[in-house]
Amino acid sequence: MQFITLEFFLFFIGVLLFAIFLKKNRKIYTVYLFLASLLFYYGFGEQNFVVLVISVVANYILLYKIDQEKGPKARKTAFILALIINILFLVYFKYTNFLSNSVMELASGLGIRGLNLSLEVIAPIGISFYTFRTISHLIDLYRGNVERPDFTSYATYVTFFPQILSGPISRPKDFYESLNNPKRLSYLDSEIIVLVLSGLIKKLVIASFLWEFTQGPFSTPQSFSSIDLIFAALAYSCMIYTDFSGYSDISIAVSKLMGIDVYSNFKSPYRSIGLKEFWSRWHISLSTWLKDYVYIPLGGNRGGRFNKYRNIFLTMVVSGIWHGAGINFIIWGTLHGIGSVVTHLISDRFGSNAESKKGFSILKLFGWVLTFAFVTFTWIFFNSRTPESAFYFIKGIFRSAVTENVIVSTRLFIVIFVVIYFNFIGQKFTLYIKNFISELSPIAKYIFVLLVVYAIIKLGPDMVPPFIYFSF
Amino acid sequence: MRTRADLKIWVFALVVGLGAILLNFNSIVPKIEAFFPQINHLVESDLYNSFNNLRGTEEDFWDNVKGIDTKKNSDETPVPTANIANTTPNPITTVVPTLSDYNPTNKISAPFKVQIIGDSMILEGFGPQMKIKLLEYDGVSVKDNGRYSTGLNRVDYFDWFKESENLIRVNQPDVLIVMFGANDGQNIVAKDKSIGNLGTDKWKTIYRERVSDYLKLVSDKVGLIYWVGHPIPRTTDFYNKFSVMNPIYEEECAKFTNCRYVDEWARFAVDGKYSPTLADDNGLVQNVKGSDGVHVTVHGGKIMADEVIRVMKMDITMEKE
Repeated sequence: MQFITLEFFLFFIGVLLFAIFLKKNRKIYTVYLFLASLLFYYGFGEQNFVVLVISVVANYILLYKIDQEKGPKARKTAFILALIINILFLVYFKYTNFLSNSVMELASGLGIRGLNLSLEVIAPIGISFYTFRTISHLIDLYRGNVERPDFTSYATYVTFFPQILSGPISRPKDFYESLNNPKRLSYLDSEIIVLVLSGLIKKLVIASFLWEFTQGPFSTPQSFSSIDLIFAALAYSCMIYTDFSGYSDISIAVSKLMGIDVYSNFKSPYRSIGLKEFWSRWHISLSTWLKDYVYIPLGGNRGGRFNKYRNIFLTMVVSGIWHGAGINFIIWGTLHGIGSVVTHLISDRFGSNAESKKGFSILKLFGWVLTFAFVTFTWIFFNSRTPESAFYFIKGIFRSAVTENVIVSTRLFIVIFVVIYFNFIGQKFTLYIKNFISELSPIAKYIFVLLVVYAIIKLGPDMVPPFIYFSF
Repeated sequence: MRTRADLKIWVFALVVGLGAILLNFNSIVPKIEAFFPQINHLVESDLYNSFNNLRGTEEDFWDNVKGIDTKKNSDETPVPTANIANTTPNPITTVVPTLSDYNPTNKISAPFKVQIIGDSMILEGFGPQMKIKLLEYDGVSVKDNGRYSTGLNRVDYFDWFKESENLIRVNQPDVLIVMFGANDGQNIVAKDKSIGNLGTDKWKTIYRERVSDYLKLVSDKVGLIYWVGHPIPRTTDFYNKFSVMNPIYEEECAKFTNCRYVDEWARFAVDGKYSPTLADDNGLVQNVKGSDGVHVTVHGGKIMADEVIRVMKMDITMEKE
């Protein structure tokens, strides 16, 4: 049961109807949310479900153990043990196939034929996201940022159905504050309406449209012209943004409808000047997670510039590894690591005045073009199935045997332009729409929503590809 | 303030409504269904009857399939599966566009055009590798068209008959590579609108007829058809489904002189059982299946494509560039 399906719609309407009445009682509501989340996740298969339940129960025991330990040494030991268990858990499910394939490929390269490790581990859906939630809880408890909750609250935090598949990765403290908030559920809130509609437009209209232009060139770049490949890379850049931010918008809206407040996961990332700014606007729940739980524990900016740059680089490599089991993701993370270090070097050397100055300047334009081009270039590795395929793609951009352009079209150009343009005016536009909706009567709100949904259906392509981030 | 806001919404509604109506896209119903591919799964469940009216276009669809006398067929009692296998196939008169000298006993050389058609298997794993491998050969051009959540079963959701005709007309392929079935394991509606529940003999009969009709439609429009069977899957559910579908593809394909069935099941099975890893022609061993146990990895796609090319080379002379 994935978002934007009839199944999920019916499931959610059912859950919401009872939630409105049960919200009054915090304990009953928590149990209700937990059971709804379990039911939702059970739809992805028994094996996935069992792994999730084991993870939740085991992690609560580990939390309990850390909490019970009074001495700092014993507490630290229990914490490190819990952390290692979680990392191994993630590595086992997500990276076993990649590691065994790498060993077999290496053996083949060395002339050892026929080495067959015959390993196959199926990664449960959403494992990267819910494991980061469990790790975040462990660290926050150890640091004293959050108290050990009761089991149901904890299990609800980890399994919360609007966020378990692809985030956003909420922090435990924020989650429990919302859970304990006695505020009634609001379903005609203009912010929620804007989030749902924006998510549907981004995913169903824009991302689905752009997908048609990326699928072929990224699968078989050898059969496309240089111009086509450039436009396919630009289309993918816009597609991954609209696909994932569209998903996040819907996820946040569903979370809010269930009474859980979530911070924005995207803030117009393609208006960024420099990678430093980009990562403060892109997949914010992950980048702040990496900052708090990887970069700072590594030492952060303490211990001199070299250590700072090293820590930035390593954090970005971890980000690459987290995104997927493959050399391409490591290359993607490494490139962002190098790019981030260079950005910080420039910023440390010349100051970040260029970014903060208001108004237009050639330097800002140059910085924006460079940042967008770099991010788009790195997406080639992110979306290619193999390094070989990424190599063909990049090679094809510079020199391709194919001269006929089949991708480039006015429609594509307009959509790319609109996506980028909305990165600059999107926040103002959202505010305007939000104010506009909030002034409407309830009936007018319903009519507005229905008409926009109707327009989305009319504008959307026939085929809606799966969400990109479900793979992670 | 409220009145002004309401006025605004009505103006907005009018603009959006008129704009939507003026847009000359397909009818709204298939689009709603496109947004809810999970309807497929609901159809499998007890909710089937609730959605039965979605199939209202089925009869119209069959009426529109060119070259098949659906009116006549729809009145006939379906032939039991066992008998179909024993019937002598009708001789098919094929019109070969480019490979006009085609004869199963003679080898044919490049240049030739290939059209790859199917479901998500064409979009991920197999399809891209098939295209890449074919493009390595001299004089071979390839077009690939896949669609998620489609097949030969739910023709009311997506009409592969019509789409295939269009693609063949536009691209004029000499060779057609077809792979369907991953989404077809659900209840099926016959031409007489009766329902064949999955797993029953009636389902097999109706699906066989569907495959046969598809082959009748395309066989006289292309030189050669390669019908790619499913590799052995990981899960029991798909194992049972593909165990039924693959023999249907193979048997129906055998009735057409220009159709070849590619047995990927055997290529992927080790001692008759599912194997998570396989060696390609170069001896490199890697995982072959994705997380769902049906879709193939890049390595799995390469192995599938190699098998198709091996079968193609029995008919066509292919030389690498």
